[in-house]
Amino acid sequence: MAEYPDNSSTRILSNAHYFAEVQHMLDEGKEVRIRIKGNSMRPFIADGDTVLLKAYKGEVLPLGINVLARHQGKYVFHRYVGTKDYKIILAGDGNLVLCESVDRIDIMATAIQHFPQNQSKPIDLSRGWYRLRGLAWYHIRLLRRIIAKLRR
Amino acid sequence: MKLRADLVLRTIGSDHLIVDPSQDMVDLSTVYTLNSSAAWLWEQLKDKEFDLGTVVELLCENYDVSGEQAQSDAEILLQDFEKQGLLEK
Repeated sequence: MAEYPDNSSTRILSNAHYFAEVQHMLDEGKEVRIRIKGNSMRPFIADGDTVLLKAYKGEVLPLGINVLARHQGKYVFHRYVGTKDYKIILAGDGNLVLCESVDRIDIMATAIQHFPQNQSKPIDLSRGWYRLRGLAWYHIRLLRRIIAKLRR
Repeated sequence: MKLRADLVLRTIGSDHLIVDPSQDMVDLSTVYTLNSSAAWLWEQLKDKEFDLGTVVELLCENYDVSGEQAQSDAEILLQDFEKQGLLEK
């Protein structure tokens, strides 16, 4: 054997391999809990929070739901904010301008629960209030951009 | 000691992940990964009762290392397995 165990048996896992496993588990009908990296879903979901996903099988997507999707060879966990032509439009709550346009087939899963790090009780993300709150936050982007500029 | 029977080693590309697929909910928020040699050891130890000596023996038989080095590495590996909850209680 070429490789001998070093002192640390842990290693960094590639994103592609990680999400291949997430997809594998979703395909087996499991609900999968993943950790969110980055701030693109702030203020509602923070870096390090975890969410519970269930496989998306083509059902009607409720507007405002959080989804895990493939986008340009990467993976995004963003909010479904609308459709344009045949495309699904996703947006990160923390983003002021950027949107992603994906095909329905690129949606891997929808989020059903959110586990904030500072709270013991999970949040049911499929509830109307949480979806509407996120959508409202998306629709005041212009106002948020102006406030962000004034703060600079 | 014994490796937890409900855990499965999955190899995707060059990555080796330990996952617990036995529940309806799979927690991938914290993933334990192994390098290829530790993954090989995992396969050898699976479903077996073993101790530190077993791991040292496996290392000495399959790698060009001294007994001392194998002992030290096996201790670290087993401590890591225990710390991460990969061993049966």
